[in-house]
Amino acid sequence: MILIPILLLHHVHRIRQYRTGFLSFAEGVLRTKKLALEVAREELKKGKGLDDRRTPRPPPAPEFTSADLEAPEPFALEDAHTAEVALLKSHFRLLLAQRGATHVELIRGAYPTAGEYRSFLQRLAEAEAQVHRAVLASRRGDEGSREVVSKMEAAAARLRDLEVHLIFGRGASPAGP
Amino acid sequence: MANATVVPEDIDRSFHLLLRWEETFARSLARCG
Repeated sequence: MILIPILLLHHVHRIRQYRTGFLSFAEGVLRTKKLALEVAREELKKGKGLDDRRTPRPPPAPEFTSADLEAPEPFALEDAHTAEVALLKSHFRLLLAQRGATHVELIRGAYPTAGEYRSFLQRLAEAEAQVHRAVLASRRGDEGSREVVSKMEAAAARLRDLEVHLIFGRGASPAGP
Repeated sequence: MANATVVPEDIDRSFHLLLRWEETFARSLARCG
């Protein structure tokens, strides 16, 4: 009889842990994008051309650098995060160089077809997955983090699929342009 | 394709559009997880 409340408490604790994990994950995604967006804006306003691919080294994966994080492969994480920021920065520079009154117009100006935009989103998902793998490698045995990452990657893929449909219309199938 | 007539005011306007979009995406992501 005592077991049931204990199990319930454990379940509630797990749900709270997941919620915190989802929020931290989403905050980390936003922090990385804000960093890339701000660098892209500064570079464009300073007159650096779109062909200038130099990327300042960003701080190493700020969303995952808590003090308790053991990092047996810190360079793998830093390199993965640098690559993710570089990809996002060149994407945002492309968008900021468009004229458009809405997000949809900016995307359609930078990526004329759904296929081209999907190709960028695929490269972004791969760059993000590299960062996640590097983080999880430093948390071996932490199944909670693995599950949060897995769920969030799936959720991001669903949201991006919806986004492509919203921008390019219902005919924008994953395989087509 | 980049638009040659984009001026700093356009860049700032687009910056805020993109920022709002990314904030919405992050909120949706947190809810979906």
